[in-house]
Amino acid sequence: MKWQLWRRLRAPAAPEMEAEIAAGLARLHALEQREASPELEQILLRQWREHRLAAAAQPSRGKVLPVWLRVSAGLAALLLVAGLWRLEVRRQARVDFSPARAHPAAHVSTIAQPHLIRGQASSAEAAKPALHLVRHSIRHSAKPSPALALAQRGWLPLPDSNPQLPLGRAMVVTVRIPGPMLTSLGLVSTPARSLRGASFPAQVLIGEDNFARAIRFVQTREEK
Amino acid sequence: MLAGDLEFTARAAEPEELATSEAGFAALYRRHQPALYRFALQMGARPQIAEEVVQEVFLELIRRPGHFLPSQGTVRGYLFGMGRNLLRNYWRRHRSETSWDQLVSEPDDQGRAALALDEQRDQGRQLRDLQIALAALPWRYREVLVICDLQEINYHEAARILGCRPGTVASRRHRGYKLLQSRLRRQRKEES
Repeated sequence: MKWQLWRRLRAPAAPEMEAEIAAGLARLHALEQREASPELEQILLRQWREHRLAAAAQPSRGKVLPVWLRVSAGLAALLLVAGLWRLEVRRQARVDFSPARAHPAAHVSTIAQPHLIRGQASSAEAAKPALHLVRHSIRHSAKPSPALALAQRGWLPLPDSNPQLPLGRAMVVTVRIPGPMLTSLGLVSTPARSLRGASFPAQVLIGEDNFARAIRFVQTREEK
Repeated sequence: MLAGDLEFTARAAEPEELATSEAGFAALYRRHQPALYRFALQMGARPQIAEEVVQEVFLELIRRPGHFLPSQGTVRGYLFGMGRNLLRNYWRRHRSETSWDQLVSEPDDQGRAALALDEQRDQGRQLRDLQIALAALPWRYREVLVICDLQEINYHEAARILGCRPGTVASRRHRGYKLLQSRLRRQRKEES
């Protein structure tokens, strides 16, 4: 069947016959005068009236959107709400620790609680001011305390340390300070209960007398 | 330019007619029904089936007038597209039961009278042969010839109706012509 069709299509064209066909088709078009029966018009008009009546009886619901559009709009709204909620949670939980700008020697003091210091000691050069922004999140802390406002200037003199004492040969050690300890040191006003389980990396400056004098929060490699 | 403006005006007015008044719908029906009915007949449907197609198309327009988008073409193209799909579905359903060639419509009294008148002028026979050859064409070529030549619809609108590109319409029309030539030649050989 397809072969026959192909053979006929491959036959050479005859322009005079093409003109004859075109004329014949035009003649057929001119001759064709048939129309559908008048009853059909009556039937359709009756249907139109019934449809209009039914539409008028129904309460107006406005334009109904397609199902896929409604579902995707719902999902988009849900995602938007979830994203906003997540942003709000992160905003509340974020506390910024600014880089230390001043030399540690300016804030050196003694510490009354040397047992806080543990971990690996680093070189004294690490005590130079860091230029990167130090950030760490403390969940459950809504407002920064005045002590945290001080922390934005870099090294923090520890309470009970004496700034009059000479620094001598300073040493810096990197430690992780438990969250409740921040409260007990007076660095944050957040209740110790809410910081339980959290720990924060920090550098502690130890003077020649082996007392901690100042503290600076840092960013670990994992956090970077 | 003038024809385009007129068509645009008609296109913009038709949905309003349909939505607002019964007289508007009647005017729309009277404007498009003859062409649609003849299209169905020329595609090989019997008069009853052609009427069913016309009825179904206009019922669909009554039920869902919002489906017609003026930006996507004219009302005529929309109606023809629906009619063409209905006819094709009908043909697919009944292909196994009967040959499509047997469904070729016989002209009614008016058509017979016109053909008889032409017979007197020795043209009616040729037209009858052409009609038979057209009815025997494969569906894809026949619909293009009916839409473009018998309904005088341009390639772009025909492409919208058929869901293909204007180039495809042109090439199918050309092939349809060649097939018609071949069939007419064969018929004449048999007669001679």
